[in-house]
Amino acid sequence: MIYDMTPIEIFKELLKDPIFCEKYNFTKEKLDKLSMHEPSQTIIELIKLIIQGYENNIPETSIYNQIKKLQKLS
Amino acid sequence: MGAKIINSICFENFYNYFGNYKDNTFEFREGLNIIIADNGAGKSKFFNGILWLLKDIVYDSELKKEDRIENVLFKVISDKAKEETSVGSSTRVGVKLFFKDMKNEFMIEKHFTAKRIKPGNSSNENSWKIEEIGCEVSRRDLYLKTFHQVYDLEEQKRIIESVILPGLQPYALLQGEEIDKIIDFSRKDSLNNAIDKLTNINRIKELVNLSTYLYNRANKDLDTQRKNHTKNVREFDEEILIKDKFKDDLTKKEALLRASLDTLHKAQDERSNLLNSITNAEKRTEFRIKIESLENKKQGLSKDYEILLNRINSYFFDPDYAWLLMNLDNEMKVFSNHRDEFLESRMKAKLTKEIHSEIFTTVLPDGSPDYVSLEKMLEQELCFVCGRDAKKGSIEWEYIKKVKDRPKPEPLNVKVTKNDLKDFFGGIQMNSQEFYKKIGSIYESIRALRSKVLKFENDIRDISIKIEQAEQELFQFGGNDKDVYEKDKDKNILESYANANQRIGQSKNEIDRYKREIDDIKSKIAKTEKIIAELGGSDFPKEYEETCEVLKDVSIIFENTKDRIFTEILSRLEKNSNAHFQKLTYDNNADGGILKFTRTSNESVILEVVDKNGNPISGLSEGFQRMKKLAVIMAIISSRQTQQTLDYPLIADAPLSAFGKGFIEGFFNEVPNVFNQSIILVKELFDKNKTNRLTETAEKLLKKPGIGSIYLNEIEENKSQYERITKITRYK
Repeated sequence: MIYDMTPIEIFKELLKDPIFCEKYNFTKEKLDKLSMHEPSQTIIELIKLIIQGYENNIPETSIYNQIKKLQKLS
Repeated sequence: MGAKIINSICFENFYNYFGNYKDNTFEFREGLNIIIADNGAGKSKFFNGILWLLKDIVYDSELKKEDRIENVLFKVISDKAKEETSVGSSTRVGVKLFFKDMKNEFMIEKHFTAKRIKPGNSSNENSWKIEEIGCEVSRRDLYLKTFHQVYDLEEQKRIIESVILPGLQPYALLQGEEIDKIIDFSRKDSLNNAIDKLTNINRIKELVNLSTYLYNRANKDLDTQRKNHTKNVREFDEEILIKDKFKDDLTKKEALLRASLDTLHKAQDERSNLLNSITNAEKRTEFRIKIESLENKKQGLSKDYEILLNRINSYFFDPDYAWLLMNLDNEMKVFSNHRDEFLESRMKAKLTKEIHSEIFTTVLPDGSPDYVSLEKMLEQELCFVCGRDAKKGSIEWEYIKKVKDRPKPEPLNVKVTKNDLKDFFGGIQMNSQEFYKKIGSIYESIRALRSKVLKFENDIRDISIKIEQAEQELFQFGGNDKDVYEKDKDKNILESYANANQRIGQSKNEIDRYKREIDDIKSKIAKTEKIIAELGGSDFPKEYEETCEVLKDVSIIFENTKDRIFTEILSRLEKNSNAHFQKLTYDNNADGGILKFTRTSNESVILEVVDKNGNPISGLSEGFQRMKKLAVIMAIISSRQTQQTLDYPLIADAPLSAFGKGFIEGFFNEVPNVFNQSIILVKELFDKNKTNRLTETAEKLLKKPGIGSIYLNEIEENKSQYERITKITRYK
């Protein structure tokens, strides 16, 4: 893989979506400061979980179980 | 591991590289490394050495196919080495490569030994036994001197693959016309594959799929929770079934839409590919029809001309022409006079015999007066019938003339009796009168016929010239009237073009219809989901609803991000491709146009060459076509966000074989901008008339900074295959 975006780069690319400001009330400054390692709102946490799960080759069913656990779904 | 740099490659008794490794060593540095060699001086053999090391294959340039090394071991042994090996002795054959990354230097060697077991012809494979086929891989830390052998086969494989990653080899290990196959612009997926391989857009696509899966799972769990808490299970189940049915319909319609989009793009691709040939095919067909029509006309004229010529004989005997009597106009009068004399003498004899009888005897033949006699009567102003005068202009004279000009009488059925010469001569005079009348017009009819013949000849000549002109025009458009296969091919092109247009029209209609239907189904699903939500009530954990809602947004975010990245990649690709294309072709006078990348609705990429006004350009030369491909490959490599040059070396055998002179300098200027290290094998810089065998371009490159090395490979002329060895000279 040549054009090898790191998980952090992918995360930053996703944060460029206008939905964060329009629907989730993020400011641009707050989005710029967001990192993969600090806890944040649900949507950010779910995105991080998906990226990390994919990067670590975790099966999709396991990723969903992690989401259920995070969201406290029985 | 950082950028890979090949330090050196050496050969031992490998093809023309006779001798040990020390005699056949090429040392390289970062930047551009060039090996100049005429045909047969070891370019492809060098490339085969790399193929053996990296892929255990060699390329047979005669058969134009790759073969596993174990199948051709005997073939790769130097002929001179074979000849110089005595029976019972062995010769060693091998290729060795040293390369490094930021931390280590590696050595890869592949080799075998061949033992001569029988006397006789050294080129007889049965006289040899191949043994000790091996592969050695060693490594040393850059700060240490000693190499340590790597024994683990997996580790060996990993090191070998790290010289040029297998996925990259199609783009960094190039051989002559094979370049054309890297990106085949006639195949849409070829460019997409290249983009997929050289960027990581596929990872984003996989993330989109993953996020969609997670949203669907959350949606399903949400429905389960709602069902568990609904007061009306039956109705809820019904609505779920309705929703599932809509979703099935949606999946089917989306599949149909994708199929129609695929058909549309295939048809567009086909039409676009045919666009280059359609104009010529149309012209060729037009000229072929013209030629066929002219040929038919010529054939008709030639037939009529032949009939006319064949009929010439009949003009001699046809009473309407009577050519046989040409210049015999006086003969009739002579005959008539002779006949008169005969009749007179006959009459005298009769009178003498019957002196007293008063019998009227006419000098005219039976059925007279005939044309010749009447003419004579008018001339002599005397009626031969009654013997009276008929002065010119008198009633009698006029009457005789009237009788002379009367219409043709019915043919006489005269019975000629034995010795009745009166009737016989009379018959001749009567029967010949119609021919006699035509004598005066013979010259006219000959002239008329001659002008007819000339007209035919002129018309046939004119048509032949027109046919020749049409054939020349056909030839200018690459056609040949005689080649039936080409004619069929053009017919197929025109039919395929028409079919492609038809399919495009049909697909567009289908796509519009499916899109409307999909929107309709989606709206129905949304309504059903609303009903399901209402039926589910509000007594279940809210986290399910929230999770489902957020995952829906997440899947949309991934999808949007993928689209945005893809658009950015294309934009960079277009910009960089054009920059490389301009530099690669800067020394060429012709305008190569502008490369334009367009994203289609099914995530494919179409590349077009357009002029400044955006109009497609077709018919670019082979050199431009190859430069276009190289420009795109270079752009894909240099469009990466992080680095501008490729970490892996480019090794190219005869990449310039289809290039004009104008492209060569552009190529050597641009390659170092994309590849950190390149090893280029060329003959275009070889000039056998120069003492140092280098062209002016090669001389310029010698003085240019950033050149890693320049080698010259030569073989001694007039030497037999058994004596032939490659002599290596380093110029830089």
